Formats: sequence, structure tokens, C-alpha cells
Amino acid sequence: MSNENESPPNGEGEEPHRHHEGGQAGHHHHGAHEHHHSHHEVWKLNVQGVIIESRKPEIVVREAIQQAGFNPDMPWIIVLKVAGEPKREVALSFVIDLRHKGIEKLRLTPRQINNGEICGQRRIAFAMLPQDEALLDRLGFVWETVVDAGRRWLIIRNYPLPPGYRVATATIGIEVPVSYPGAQLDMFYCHPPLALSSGAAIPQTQQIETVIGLPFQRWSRHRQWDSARDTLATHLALVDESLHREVGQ
Amino acid sequence: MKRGHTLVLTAKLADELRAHLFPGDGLEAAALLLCTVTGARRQKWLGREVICVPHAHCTRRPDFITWPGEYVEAAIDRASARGDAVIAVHAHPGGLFSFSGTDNESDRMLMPAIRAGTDCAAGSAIMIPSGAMRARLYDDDRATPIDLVMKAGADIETWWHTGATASGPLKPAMAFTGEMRASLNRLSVCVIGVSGTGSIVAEQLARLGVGEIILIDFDKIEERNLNRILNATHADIGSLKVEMFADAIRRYRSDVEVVGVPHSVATREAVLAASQADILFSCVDSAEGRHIADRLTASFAMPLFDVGVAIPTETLPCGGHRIAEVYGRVDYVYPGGSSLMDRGVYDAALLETEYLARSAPHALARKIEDGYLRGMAEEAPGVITLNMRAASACVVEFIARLFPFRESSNERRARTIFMLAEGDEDVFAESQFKYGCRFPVAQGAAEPLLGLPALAVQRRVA
Repeated sequence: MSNENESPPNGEGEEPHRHHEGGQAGHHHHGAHEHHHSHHEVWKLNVQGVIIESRKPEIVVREAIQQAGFNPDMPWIIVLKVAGEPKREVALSFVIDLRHKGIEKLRLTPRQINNGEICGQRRIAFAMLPQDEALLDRLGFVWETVVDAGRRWLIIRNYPLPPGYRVATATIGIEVPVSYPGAQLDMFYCHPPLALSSGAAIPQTQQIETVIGLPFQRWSRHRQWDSARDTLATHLALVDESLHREVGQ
Repeated sequence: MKRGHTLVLTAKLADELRAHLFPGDGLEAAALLLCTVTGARRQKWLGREVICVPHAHCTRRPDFITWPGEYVEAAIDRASARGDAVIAVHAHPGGLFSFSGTDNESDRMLMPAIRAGTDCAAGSAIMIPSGAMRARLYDDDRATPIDLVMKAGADIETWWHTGATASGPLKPAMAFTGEMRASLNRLSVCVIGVSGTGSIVAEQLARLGVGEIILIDFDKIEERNLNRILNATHADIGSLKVEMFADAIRRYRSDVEVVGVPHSVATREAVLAASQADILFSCVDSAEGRHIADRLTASFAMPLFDVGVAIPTETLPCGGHRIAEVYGRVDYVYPGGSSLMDRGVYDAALLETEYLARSAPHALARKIEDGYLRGMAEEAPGVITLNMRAASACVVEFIARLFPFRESSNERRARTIFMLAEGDEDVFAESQFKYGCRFPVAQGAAEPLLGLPALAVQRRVA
């Protein structure tokens, strides 16, 4: 946590403690001065790499996870890391006191990890068109198809983003209705939720959907689907065009 | 119904073939027809492409032709790349509707050559000036007649081997006669959806004497269906609709084969079962069902009759509702013509909507709320009175296409919509619809089935 003017914590060694504009930690205890500034205080917390902000010095774990865009109801092992203290598993209802010295971050680990050969295989829960699969392979994507709560998703990992986003790659989710390619592919989804380095807002991306336990940002980008012409290839062109458009390319 | 092989040509292909074979000079001409061969229980040869042998390269007489074998080689090259079969076709300008001694002699040389080149059966066929065709195929050195050659266009023309003579094919039966019944007895018809309209369509087909009826419906009979499914009784509640209906047909027909397919039409089993039929009826209330029917029509060259009903209501300014209209719609679709999708009966967005409605109703509600999708129309009305009228119009359309009886051409009635409130009927010509070439024609069972990965034979596991 830190105030608004400070850049986000950049390492575990740093002491992520609050402090005031132009002041020092020691000044807290001097009444009036502190009150004046406390209205502007924002408490920050690193949740699995996502920095969230709180106006209050205390936050419930569930809220923190939700605010960071993760699904708190997934079976997570939730660990609170505090500098100089042994790591500590906390429950969803635990209240984190952000005033506590040395709070670094909240980590989420899936409660069950399945290893072994079967997981080494890519998940192909449903088939795409042969030419789609060939295209994905040709483009060198790590991709899979998964059915999550009845919804069919094509997941493309390490999708390269043009410069101008805060991250270099993203996981792209495309929902594939069962009647595809008769049915349209519409919109696409990005994990992590993308933000521009410039800080400008990206229009029509407010909606967050949880897919395979991760927060995906919905990019409402559309066109008239023509099943005689459109396939994944033309949809990926829309994805690419949309991602470039926001960074002015 | 005992029947072996069928050759189906789209109207476009048949017309192309005829234009080449009969250039107007009264001399014989030749062409090669490439076909997709499909079907386990009953083989269908689906005409896919015509390779014309240029007239200038042949020695042509009124009753004789010699043409260069290099065109056979070209056909073999194209066919073997796709696994197609080749049928050698030539004209009989004099009207002989039979293979001549010369034809037999030529087949003895040509057929083994084509078989060796394509690694599949070969065929030969003749066409007379009327466009009527007769065909036979060679799995080995013996000729097997193709039982039915069908031209599927605005009219559905059928040329049967049985009853044909050297002077011509069996004359088409007159509509609504015993001859029509005998003719229908040779046909296989598939009905998708055996409920509100489907049970009434199937009942008519059975009573008209159709030889084979394939019924597709995954659903079971519920008490609430008894008001609209023909033949259903209290004792049938809980039974599969297709089984109940098949039993009912068998109680009054001994000369019929009824095949019940208790699966959703969006399954491989159902699609492959349907593909065996000659003609398709779609009596469903989902875009997905119509989408499958549309693709079956193209892939397996099956003429399609689609029926729908609707009773939209409107809210009155003073509150309360009134009936806006009472609609029935019949669409006739033929392979290579405009599809139901071209005609806007459903679209890509509606297919997505149906998928979301089943898989993620919340996501659908949000998308509708955000204005990205429109809501679905309510389920087809369960009013048997309207259903009967529409189902009857649908089967009349079927009769008119096979046994033309109308004063005006069938081309003008690609779609019929009747409106009981207004008391009017609108007809739409095939030419009024934009043909979008959406679905590849005569692909047969090529993978993925119907071009839909969801129907592919197996998933790839990487």
C-alpha cells in the first residue's frame, strides 16, 4: 500500500507502508496534520499481481479478491504475505489491516493441481474447423478448447499485444457456439483485463466474465457475420484490428 | 421399399449437362460427371461437377460419337484427388432411352479404366433431349442399374429405372391419383421434428403412401403435448415421440418402412440417418434444427420443405392484448438454390442466441440487455388448428413439386405465407431471394459432417 503519487510496489523487499504526501511515516501521530491528509489516503494492496485500491485501511479478503477480478468462490489457497513474518493462510472472511507494517500481497493458489501426463495434453474439448486448427497451429499459438459451465471457449495463450498495453501478451478467449460456423463468433475476451499504458480508458470493455476461473475482460467488438465467408480466421482479424485500434495503430 | 442406388443432380448441374449434350445440331455429345458417393444403407451418387468434352474434339454423328480419352484422364485426376466417382454421360439425340450395343461395348473398355484410375466404382449414363437420364454403375464388370435419377430444382424430376423403356421413362404420375401413390411408394422421406407440425406432416406422408419414412425427434411425449401430436394417447406419455408415431403408422400400413431416430437432429446419428432419404421436411421450432436441415439440403442434395407457424400478439394502448396476425409459412428449398438462411428464416446471431439460452442464460440476458443480441421469439404456438393448416400447405407443396399441377410455375412459390387474420396469402419467387452460396453442395459426408465441427467424427487430441 502507498499513496496515490507513489508508483506501485515493485518488489517484495520494499516496505509497502502508507505514507503521506511530502511527509514521513513518523508524522502520523500528530493529530490535525494527519486528519487533513487522510481524506486523500488510498490504501493499495497487491492481489496476485493486480494492484487494488481501498479507501479504508481495512479490507475483507473476499472483497480484495473480487476487486482484483478473481472469482473468490473458486477453490483457492489464499496466502497473505507480510515482510518479516511467516506466510499465513487466510479465509475469505479474514480482515486485512492495511496499516499493519510490512503487508506485501495476497497470493492465490488453486487448491487442486492436477499433474501427470494427462495434463500435459492440451485440452481439446470440442473440435474447431480443420482449417481453423491448422491456422492456430501455423500461427504458433498455444491454444485449447474448453467447456466451462456449458459454455464452449477457444482459449489462445500468449497472444502478442501491440506496444501500448501494460502487458505484452494476453490470453484471448473466444466463445464458440455449438452451431459454429453457422452461428456467429461475436466479441472476444482478454485475460488479464487489459489497460493502456497511457491510462486512457478502452471503450466497451467494462464487462468481466469468469472463464476457467480467471477474469476475462469482454471486448464488445462486432460485425455482420456471414457464414459463407467468416470463420475463426476472419474473427482473429477482428481481434487483431481491435487490439491495434486502441493503441492507435 | 427395396431400392439401391440414386443419382441426384442439382438443377444447375443437370441444365449445364443438357446444354452441352444437346447443342441443337442433333448430333451426339459426351461429358463426364464427377460425383460424391455417400450412404451406407442406400448409396447416393451426388453430382458435383461436369467436365464437358468439347464438341470439336469429337467425331459426332446423330447416332454415334468418338471422343478422346484425354478427357477421361482429366476427370480421373480431378476425381481421385477428392475421392469422387466418375460417370461417363452421352446424348441420345434420337431419344433412345436405353443403352445400345455400342454403349455396352464402349463400357467394357472404359469402365475398368475409370475404376483403375479412381479406385472406386464407375458409371455410365445417357440423356435424351427431354433431359431424362438413365444411369448404371460398375462395381465390378457387371452393370447395376441406378434405380432413380433425380433432378432437384424448382420441380423435382424423377426418372426411375423400373418402368422405363427404350422409348422413354415412365410418365410422371398425375397428382392425387393412385399412380401418385405408387410413385410415392418408392420414395424415402425424412421428417425432422415429430410434434406440432411434424406429426401432421408425417401422418399425411404415411397416408399418401410414401415408401419409407424416417422420423427424427429426441423428445418424449408429455401430457401437455396431447393437444397437438397426432396419434398420441395417455398411454404414450413418457414414450419417445418417434416410437409412438412409428407404431401408429405400422397399424395402418404394411407396405411402409418406418425408421425412428430418437436423437436430436444436431447429432451425427440423426444427420446420417436423414441423409439416406430423398426428400426432407423440417418441422422444428429451433434455428439449430433449420440450420442442420439447410446444410443437409446442400451437402446431400435433398430438396427441403420447411414449415413454421406464429401468432404474434400486440399490446393495446389501453392495456390488454390482441392477436396481431395468425401466420403459417412454407418454404421450399432445393440444393444450389437459396437457403433458409439466405431467406432470413434464421441467422448467425439467432444460432448464437439459442446456444447461449441453453448454456449460459445469464450471459444471454446480459447480451440482450446490452443490445448485442435480440431476444428469441416465443415457442411455436401449440394450436392444432393452425398447425394442420400449415402442415397441409407444406405437403401440398411437396406434391406440387413432384407432380406439378399448378397453373403457374412452381418457381414462383419458393415461399408461401398465409395470414388468417388479414385473410391473405403472399407468395415469393425463388428469384426474390438472394442466393448466398453459403453451404457447399454435394459434399456428402465429407468431414466435418455438414461442415460443422460439432458433428465431426472425432475430436483431435493434441
